[in-house]
Amino acid sequence: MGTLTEKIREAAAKVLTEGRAEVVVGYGPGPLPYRNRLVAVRSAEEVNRLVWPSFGVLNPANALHKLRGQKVALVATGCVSRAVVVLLQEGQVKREEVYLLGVPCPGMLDPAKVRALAAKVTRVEDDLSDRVLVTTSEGKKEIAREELLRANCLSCRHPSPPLYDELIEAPARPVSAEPYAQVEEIEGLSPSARWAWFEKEIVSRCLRCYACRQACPLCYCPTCFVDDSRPQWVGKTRDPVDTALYHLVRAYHLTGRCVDCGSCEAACPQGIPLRLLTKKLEKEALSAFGFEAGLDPEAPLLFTDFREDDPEDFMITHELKAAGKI
Amino acid sequence: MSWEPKIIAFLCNWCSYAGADLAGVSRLRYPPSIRIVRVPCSSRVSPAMILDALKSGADGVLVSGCHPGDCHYLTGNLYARRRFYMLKKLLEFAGIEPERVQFAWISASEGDVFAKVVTEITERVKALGPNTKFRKVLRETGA
Amino acid sequence: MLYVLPQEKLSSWLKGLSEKYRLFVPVSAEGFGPYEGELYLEARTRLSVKEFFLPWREPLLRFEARPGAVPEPVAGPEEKRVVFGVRPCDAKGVALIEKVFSEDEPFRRRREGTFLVGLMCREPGSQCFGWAMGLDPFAGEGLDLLFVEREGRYLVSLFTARARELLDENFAPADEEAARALENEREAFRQKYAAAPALEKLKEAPLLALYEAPFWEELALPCLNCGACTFLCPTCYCFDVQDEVVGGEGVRVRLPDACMFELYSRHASGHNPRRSPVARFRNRFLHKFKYFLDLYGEPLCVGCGRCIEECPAGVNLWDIIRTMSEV
Repeated sequence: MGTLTEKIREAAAKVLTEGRAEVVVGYGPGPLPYRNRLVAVRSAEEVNRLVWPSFGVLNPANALHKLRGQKVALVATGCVSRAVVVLLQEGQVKREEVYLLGVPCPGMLDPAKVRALAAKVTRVEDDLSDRVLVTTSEGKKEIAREELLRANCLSCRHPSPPLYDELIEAPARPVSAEPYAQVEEIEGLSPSARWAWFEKEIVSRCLRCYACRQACPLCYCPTCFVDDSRPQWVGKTRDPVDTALYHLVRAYHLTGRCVDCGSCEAACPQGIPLRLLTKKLEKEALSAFGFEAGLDPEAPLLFTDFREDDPEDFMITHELKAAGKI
Repeated sequence: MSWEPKIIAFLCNWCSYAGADLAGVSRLRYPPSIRIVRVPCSSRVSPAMILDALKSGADGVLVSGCHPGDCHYLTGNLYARRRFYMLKKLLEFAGIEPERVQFAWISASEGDVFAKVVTEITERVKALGPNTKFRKVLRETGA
Repeated sequence: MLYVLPQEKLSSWLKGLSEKYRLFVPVSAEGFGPYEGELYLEARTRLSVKEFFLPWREPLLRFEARPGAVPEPVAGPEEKRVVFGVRPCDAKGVALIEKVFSEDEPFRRRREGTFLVGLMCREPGSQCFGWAMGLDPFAGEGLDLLFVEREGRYLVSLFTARARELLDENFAPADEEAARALENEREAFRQKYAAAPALEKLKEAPLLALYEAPFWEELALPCLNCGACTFLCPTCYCFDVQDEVVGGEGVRVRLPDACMFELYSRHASGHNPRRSPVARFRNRFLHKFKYFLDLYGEPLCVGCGRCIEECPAGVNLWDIIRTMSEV
């Protein structure tokens, strides 16, 4: 058949001409060699605006709220489809309102890794083979694709969409063998080293621009907890305690919901490694409760369910009882 | 006068609060570090509340509810159990000393358990020292 | 007045300055920090010098949180500061903000207590377009001094009388040859880079036609309505005022805010005149390229290119300016 871009365009044209959706939301080329931009295509004649986005780092499911009332088709890789599953579970979108044009994902490139290659990057040629050609102010560089992949793609366990209305035929990335390597690295540090990491990498650099929240398809509250004023939980300045509170509570609000699409980290203008907080929670949800987010729209969420044998050993009464003290 | 930790305890109305009451009525001794906030159910307690307590100057936080199966609202504590587990893991991951935030099941008849738990937590928090990391300090100077 | 400083004398001058003033320099690609011997001069920093004048937390009043208490104003920092390595676009940004904040006491206090020492860029950054916005980097707007590095020495222009106290004995008055070298640089720049015709068109465009134009919805589709562009922009100055109370004490602070946030324009009644994301997106660009342009004659933009480089959604300012100017 054709390249992935051609397959996406062909499928999108069919979706529009057969009336399965009023608009196809996907990515087009962006203004910079390391950015793609969201596009909404409404007719088969326009499908050439769509491309396979090597840098489609933001989750298109986030645009659903802007197109309410229209039947929207999403070009959906694994994490896009999973985000829609969670939105379905939470009643934020109806199944008949969204058409998932499934795309098995080969992984996407990290703009930060590309920008780090040279002072100026003028062109990126990614044909989904194992090498990427990058034209820079210091000449052309051929880099192994694995070295430029986004961190969340490297740890992805669901490159193929679990829910779809149609699935394009294309090879997906292999499921990650070490999805929690980054989390384990932090877990291996001492508590004070972890706090130092948290403070330095996350808290001290945060501008409170809320790009992370705005980019996340699952942060859709009309009034975010940060904007509550009676009571006011979180101060709005970059005060370290308030900022720490913002990140901890936001990550916590995504427990059992986050699909690690990496939009938060990609959106952050300061390059803060935000994903690691939710990734840790994802690891715990899997190991302690056998739960994974965004796979089955009929299933309950992590926090809307419980089992009789859920772990209790973290509780002090359990600990004291085991030690015979109570 | 040496430093006494301040520990905020969110106690569910039906079990743990009654248990604390029983401890008092039974004249059981436990450290005066505890400040109690009565909530209808342990599942009422959100992470924002726990972190807000630390931010406002608490050195430790205890959240206690009914034993699984005894919840006055049938399943509140069962949902809460999962939520507390995840919160504890998150706080630990971020480097906040895990001993500062504790969860317990204390029934209305377990006055002695209440006293023991408070004593234990106070000792652990005392060993950690005052909460300086996660306490909001008002500064008059700007950046 | 023009001076010449040999390049190798820069660090000794900076060291001398750091002993008399609080000295800040670009310490990394991220932003400015106190001078400790290291300098990052390869390119402009991600955070601009705006942070020195509109800090992330500006205490205004101090009060006791009890009925009947009378708040007291907070006296701000008095020390003099020097910021070295300021790019001309960032300095112009401060000058633009000053048009609006000239009567604001905390801003004025910081402005009067801070020397801005500029450093000319060797070449424009990949997304820079300051000249298109009417910036002449050699004019020194907002700067006390401007360093132009050429052939192993700095040609240093003095723009304010007070900056004389910063110079040390290594600054020699420039001779004719040096003055000509600088003038040639300036001329070469003017020949190569000119103001964008779009600006003139925007001045003439009728406001309502821009406001009611049909293209805003499509332009705003990818926008996340976050504050990344706002907080990185050297000219965005919107703020919020909050009371922070801990225990029985409180401080009223001013902090940066963004018109992109829904809460920004929400009234106490709950009504929000800019409730939709498109309305807020439109507002940002109309403010910068129409309202401010009409009021002050220049756009509220210095063409530093940060918004284009850093916007994660690929929103491109040029697409917007061009589309607006074609109305």
